Amino acid sequence: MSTKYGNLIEYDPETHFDRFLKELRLNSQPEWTWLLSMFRDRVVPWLFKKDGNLPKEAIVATDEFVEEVFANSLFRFYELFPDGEFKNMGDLRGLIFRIGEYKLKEGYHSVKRDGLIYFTDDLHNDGSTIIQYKLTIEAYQEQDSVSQLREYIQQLNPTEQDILIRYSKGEELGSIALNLGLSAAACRKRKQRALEKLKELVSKK
Amino acid sequence: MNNKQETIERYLRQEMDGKELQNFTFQMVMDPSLRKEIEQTRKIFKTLRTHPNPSVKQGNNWLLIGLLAIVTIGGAYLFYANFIQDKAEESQRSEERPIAQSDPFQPNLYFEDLTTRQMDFVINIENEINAVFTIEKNSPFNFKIKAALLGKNIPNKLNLSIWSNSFEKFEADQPVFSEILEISNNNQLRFQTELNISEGLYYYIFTTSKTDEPIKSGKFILQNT
Repeated sequence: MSTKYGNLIEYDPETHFDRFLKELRLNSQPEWTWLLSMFRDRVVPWLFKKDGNLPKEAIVATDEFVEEVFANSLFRFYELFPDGEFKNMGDLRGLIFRIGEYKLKEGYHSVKRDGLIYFTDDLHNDGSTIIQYKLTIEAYQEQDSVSQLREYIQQLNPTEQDILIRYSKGEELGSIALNLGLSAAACRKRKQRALEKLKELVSKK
Repeated sequence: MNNKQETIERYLRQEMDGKELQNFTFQMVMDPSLRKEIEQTRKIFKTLRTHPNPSVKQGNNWLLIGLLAIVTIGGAYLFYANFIQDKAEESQRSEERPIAQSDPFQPNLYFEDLTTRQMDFVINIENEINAVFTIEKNSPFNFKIKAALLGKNIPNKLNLSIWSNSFEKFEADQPVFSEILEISNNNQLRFQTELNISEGLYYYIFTTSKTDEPIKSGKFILQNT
């Protein structure tokens, strides 16, 4: 039987829920792929509808924010799943929506926190003291690691920095290559090398 | 850097769909080390986004500077030669305008400045358009676009126009192609057409069909074999 969320399951998970749940508990890929796809189909549009509180100055775009919240919801679901008792598909859906709601609030909080972490360096007036005061110890540590990362970025040559900054903002590699007068292959290689360097530096720390 | 890293980048840049996204989501949920790598890359991207742009010499800038210098000197010469005022004005305008029409591959600064506007939705282009395409001389170019629209208040129509890099064509409002495209009920955009255009640099621009406000732009190069 071919189902909407993957053609590897030969039965209807809704009507054969016990079998489906058993396979999920065995970490069976077709069942998990089916479940995660069903969650994506239902939770992501719901998150889009609820995204009204995303601050304008957020570093992330709405679709990225939604994907991050959705992914974090899945991770939490997977952590909670082994201890959960589920009688039908509605129970699984209920759990992911409850987690989604919580992760959405957590997401808004982290977007605001990111604003403080990433932009505090730019503040030079007295206001910075107030903002610093609001940072938690964890956020201070995060701010330190972002400052460190910025230093690593500074260590890259200007072209590498430019490629990575444009790429991180969503510009296509072909377009970056055209703008910088590089061939697409050279641009891709330089992007790869620069990211590799950054990751190595971060890992060493 | 390996394929795994590029896969992570594709995920973070929202370039995945269908089975690839299904499989990656499964791996991401099951594999804590993959999650960690995704988080690390996401953090690097966020930091890069808030990092000031370095001053990088762009490709062929020397040519642009040279041409601007020539125009400036030419303008000054005309001024000192007591030409009429409108000549002086034209000269001044020439200094400001992008010099693109002299070279079919020279970037046009007006189009380069077009950035994605803040909208409630985004256009996620799924096929490779920003690229160099090679076709036989006098053959039509098959322009294809495959995109998904994500977000809120998604319109049911969008205007697509394609422009050569010539500033004159832009001033005269003469795109090489323009059409209003329908967005399907599941917010997908599928379109292709044959364009009889010569080799050179072209820009495509999506604008709102009602107010003609730019939403997304990109460019491609067409060259002959």
